[in-house]
Amino acid sequence: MIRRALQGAVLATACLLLASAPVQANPLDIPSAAPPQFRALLREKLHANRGSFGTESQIDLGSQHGYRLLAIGEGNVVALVVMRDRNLRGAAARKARSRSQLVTAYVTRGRATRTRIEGSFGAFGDIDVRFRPSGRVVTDAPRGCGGRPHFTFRYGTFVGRIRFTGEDRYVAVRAHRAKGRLRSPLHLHCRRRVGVPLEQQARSSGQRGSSQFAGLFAERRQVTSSTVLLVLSAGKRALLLALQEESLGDMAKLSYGLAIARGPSLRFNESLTSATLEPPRPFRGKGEYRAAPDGTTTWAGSLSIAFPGAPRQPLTGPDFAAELDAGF
Amino acid sequence: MALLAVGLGAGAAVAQAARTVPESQARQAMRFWTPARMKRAHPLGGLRSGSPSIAAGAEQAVASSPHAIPPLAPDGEEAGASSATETVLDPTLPLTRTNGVIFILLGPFDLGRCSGTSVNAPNFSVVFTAAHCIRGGGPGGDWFPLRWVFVPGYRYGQRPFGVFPAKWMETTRLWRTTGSENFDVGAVVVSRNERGQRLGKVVGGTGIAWGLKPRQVFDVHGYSAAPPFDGETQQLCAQTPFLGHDPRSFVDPGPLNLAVECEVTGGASGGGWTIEGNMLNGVTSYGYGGAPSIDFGPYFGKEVGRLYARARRAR
Repeated sequence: MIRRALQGAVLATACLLLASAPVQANPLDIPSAAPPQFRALLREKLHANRGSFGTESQIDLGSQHGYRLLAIGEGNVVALVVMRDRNLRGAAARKARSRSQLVTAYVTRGRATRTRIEGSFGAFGDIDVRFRPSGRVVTDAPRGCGGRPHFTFRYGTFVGRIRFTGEDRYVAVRAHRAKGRLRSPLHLHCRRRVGVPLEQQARSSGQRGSSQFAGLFAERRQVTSSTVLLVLSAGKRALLLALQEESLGDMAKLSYGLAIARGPSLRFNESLTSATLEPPRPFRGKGEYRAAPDGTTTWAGSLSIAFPGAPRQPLTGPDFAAELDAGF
Repeated sequence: MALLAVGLGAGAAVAQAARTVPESQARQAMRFWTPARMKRAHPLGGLRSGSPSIAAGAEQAVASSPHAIPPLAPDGEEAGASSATETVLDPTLPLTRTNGVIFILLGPFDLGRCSGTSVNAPNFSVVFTAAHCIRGGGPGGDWFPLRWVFVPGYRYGQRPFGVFPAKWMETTRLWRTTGSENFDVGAVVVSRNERGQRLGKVVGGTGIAWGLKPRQVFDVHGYSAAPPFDGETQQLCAQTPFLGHDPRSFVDPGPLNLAVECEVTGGASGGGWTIEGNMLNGVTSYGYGGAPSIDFGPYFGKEVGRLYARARRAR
C-alpha cells in the first residue's frame, strides 16, 4: 500500500528544490507566472504524466475581477482555470508576481482533441467548442533544450459554447468564440536547472550546512478532500505552498497558493518543539506549532489563505496533523 | 497545474507486454518462502524503475458494457456466508480462502508483500492484485518476478493450501504506459502448488465484474501489515459503500478511482474488493497517512476486462 507519508512529502519537496533536476521543458501554462520550483512541485503533486505525445488545447477567456481565466483540454481531462491576474506591468511587477501565485482549477472528465473540446462542470457550466485554425503556426524551443526539441503552437479560434459561473459569481463567462491555441507535444525532455537551489542560495548568503533547512508540513484530510500546507525554509528564505483539493461528484476543484518569502517566515527552537510561521501574502495570519514530550503536536493560529473561489480558508486548527523537521 | 496526457502512442510498443517466469524459478520460489522470511517481508511501497521485459500475450476485444464472470466454488464445497468482523478468524473458509498474501523478493534481503485474490478462470490459476505489486508504473517500470508467490488463506506463517508461484504476470496496459494509479490493477497466472494442485481447484475463485456503476457496496479484503496490524491475519471491511473519487484521480489518465471507508495499512495493496458476496470489482491501491480510514482503488472498467481476458488464456 502506498501511503504518502509526511517525510516523503517534505523530502520530495526538498529534493525538488535542492536538486539540479532533470525537468521536462513544459511551459505548464497555468502557473506560468509561478517560479520553476512551484511548477516542478505541481508536476509532482499532480502526478504529472510521463508521456510526451498528445496535444494541449488552451482557450484564453480573458480577465475579470482580477482573475485570468483559461480553459484547457488534454486527452480526457478538461479544466477551467482561474488564476490571480494582478495585471501588473514592468520589471518590479514581474518580480512581485514571481514570488506568489494563486490558482484554482475546476477539473472534469471530457474530451479534448485537436479539433474539439467538450466537458461538463455540472452546475458550474460546460464547454463545447470546435477549433478553427487561423493558419498561424509558431515553433518554440525553450531555453536549455539546445534548440532541437521544440513545441509547435497552432493558433486559432474556438467556436461553440463556453459557460462557466464560479461560486457566488466571483467569475462568470458566457462566450461563443474565444482565441486559443493548440500545443504539441505535451512535454519536451531536456535537462536544465530548476532555478537556483535553495541550498546554494543559503550558502551564498553566508549560511552553511544542511542544518539550516527546515520543513513544516500540516495536513487536514477528509474522505475526498484535503488541505495541505508545505513550508520549506532555508536560512532566511522559505517556500510556502498551500494545496486544497476537493472532489465534487463528477468534478474536482484543485486550488494552489504559493509564496516565496525573503524574510525569516519560519522560526523554531533547537529542540523542534516550538515553531512560529508568519508567511507573506497571499497567506494571512500566523501559525503556531507545538510538540509535547509525548509526541503529540498542535498546529494553531490564525493562518489562512484565500484561493480563487474559496475565500479565507483556514490553514490551522485541531483537525490538522502537523510535523516539523530540520537538518535534512 | 499540469494536465495529463494519455500517452497512448508511447504505449503502443509494449501494448502486448507480459512477463513470464521460468518453471525452475517458480520451483525455487516455493522453497524460498520460509515462515521466517514471510514474517520479515515488508509492505510494498516505493516503486523501482527500470526497463520492462517483453513477452507474448493475448488480448481480445472487451465490451465496455457491464460484464461479470461468476465465482467458482472449490472442489467438494459450497460457498458460505460472509464474515462481517474486522479480523477474519478462519481464513480457510470458502469465502475467505480466495484471499491471500503475495510475497515478492525485491532485491537482496529486500522482501516485499501485498495482498491478492484468486479469480475464477478456465486455467484455474488467476490471481488479481494491484499493478504496483507486479511492476513499477510507467514505461520505465521494473517487473517484480523474483520469488513472487501467492499464499491463499495465510495465517501466522501457516500455508493451509500451499504456495503458488507466479509463472505469468501482467498489468493493465495503461499502467505500463502512463503509471496512472487509475490503472493500478494486475493479474498473475500461478503454477501448481507443492502438492501439484491448481489454485482454483483448491480454494476456488471469486467472480469478476467490470463496467458496473461505481456506486457499489464492497467487502474489502486484505492483509494489512503495517501498524497497528501485523500482517499475520486477514482483515475484512464488510459492506463499505462507495464514497467518491480522489481529487487527484481527475488529473490522471483513466477512469476515476473509488474511495471507500476501510482502515487498511501497508500490505493490503492488491486486496480484493468484492460485491454481492463473491464478485471481484476492485483492489486496494493506496491511501493517505492523514486519512487512514479511507482506502482508494481503481475502477474496474474495460481495461480490467482486457487484462482478465489475457490472464484467463495464459498457460
